[in-house]
Amino acid sequence: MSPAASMTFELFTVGILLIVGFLFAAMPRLTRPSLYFAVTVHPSFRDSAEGRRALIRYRTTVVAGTVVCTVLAFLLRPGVHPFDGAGLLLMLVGISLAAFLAARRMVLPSSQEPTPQRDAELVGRRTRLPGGVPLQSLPFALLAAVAGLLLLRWGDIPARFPVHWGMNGQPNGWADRTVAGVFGPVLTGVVVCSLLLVVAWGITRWSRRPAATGPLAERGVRFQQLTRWVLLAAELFLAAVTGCVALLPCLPSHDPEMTAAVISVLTLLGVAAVVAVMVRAGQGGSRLAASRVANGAAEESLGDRSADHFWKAGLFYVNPDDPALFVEKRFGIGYTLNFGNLWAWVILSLVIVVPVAIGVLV
Amino acid sequence: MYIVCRQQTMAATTPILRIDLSSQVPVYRQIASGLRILLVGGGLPAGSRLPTTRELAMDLGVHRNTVAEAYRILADEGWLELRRRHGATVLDRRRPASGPEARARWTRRLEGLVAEGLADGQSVEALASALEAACDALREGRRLAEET
Repeated sequence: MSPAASMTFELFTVGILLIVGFLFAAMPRLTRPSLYFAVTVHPSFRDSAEGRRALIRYRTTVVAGTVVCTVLAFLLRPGVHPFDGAGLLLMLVGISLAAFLAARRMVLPSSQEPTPQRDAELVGRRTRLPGGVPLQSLPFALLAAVAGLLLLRWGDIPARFPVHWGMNGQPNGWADRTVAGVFGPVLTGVVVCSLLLVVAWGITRWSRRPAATGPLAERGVRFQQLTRWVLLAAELFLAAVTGCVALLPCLPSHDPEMTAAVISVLTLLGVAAVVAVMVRAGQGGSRLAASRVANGAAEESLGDRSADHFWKAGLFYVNPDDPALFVEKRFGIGYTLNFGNLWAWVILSLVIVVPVAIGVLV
Repeated sequence: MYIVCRQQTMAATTPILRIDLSSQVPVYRQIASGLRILLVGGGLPAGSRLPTTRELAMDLGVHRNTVAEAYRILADEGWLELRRRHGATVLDRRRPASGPEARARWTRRLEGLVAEGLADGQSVEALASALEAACDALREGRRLAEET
């Protein structure tokens, strides 16, 4: 591997580690004031001595974990050493989650019941996704165009060609010129985009509106819309990447290392942009500027309309009586599934089984 | 304990239903009562489509059957038409003729309610005033904010 490509992949790994480390360190301050380490608390708790102590311990561990993983990334040359970038990322996530659980144990004694008052708008859901059908179908149209181009250029495709590259830029997956081999990346793109579309639709139809009135309601609506735009952007990005990968066999003169490096850099920039947008909004839109939300409205209620005991380890929501399939995460930005709902397991199975099946079959 | 009102939200006025899970009144009754107030007061005119039981249950964070029970009560009273997967539609309900039996039934219920209020420390005057205000608001079709 060329030194430039090697440097690119090292920086990619380090960049991802730093983004994840920053996200974990910032997370406790990104959630609603009445949710702290996935525990329902009074909004003033996070500024109390106990609250600050939990945060300092948590952040110290996360920052130390990020530093260790980043140093290891430089020392072990991710992608060359078996203990590669993915391993370092898992290690950092593991350290951060352990720190989260420890902080959660410190906060749990101060847990409070969520506000018992609930409200709801008496109107049906507006189920239109951003951009409507034209924009939502764009990723699929892109992939269909790639598939058409592959059919036209079938004769130019070599008998055997690389289809997957490791984090070091070296090809580690090969395919033959068969229908499955050539159209595999396109199919992967279609499946991944479909899953993201299902998630966007699910957030629209099967998630709880956090409130019907006031700042919480407006922030919630804007956050949902932002999430749907981010999902659409992710679909477009993934369609473009899988489309490019599918077209690579038609370009025999391309430099695979350089291609992988460009994709890595673009992925890093894309992840950084998404993180920046979501961090700016905060979980549930909690950090959206006060001047842009409903003025003079009621105070925010405690919690997220779910009791703490439904949140296993603060991360997994399990409530069979709640018809909501998607719920806002208590620790993290975005949505998670209600694992008390059978459909959550169906979606989770699809997310796991379908990519594995494609990997095996293609 | 429930509150029903019609509030200014982001785009337009939208009827809002509020419940209180800490109240001793069962949630399905709070939902039915809240909706009935809006129906009587004109907050939900004939032809209005209510959210599906699933949607309303999601937003309130209660079981779907709880909302379904409230909808069934109002459908039995002739306020709603229920259609599977289409939620509930408000019907053009004619006010039934009031007979002596209905009046006697309501007198008993009001007595019970007044007794609850007195036991709760309210004065007779305050209760009479609240009842009068509630009747006026409903009669005039004003947006009612009621807390019991």
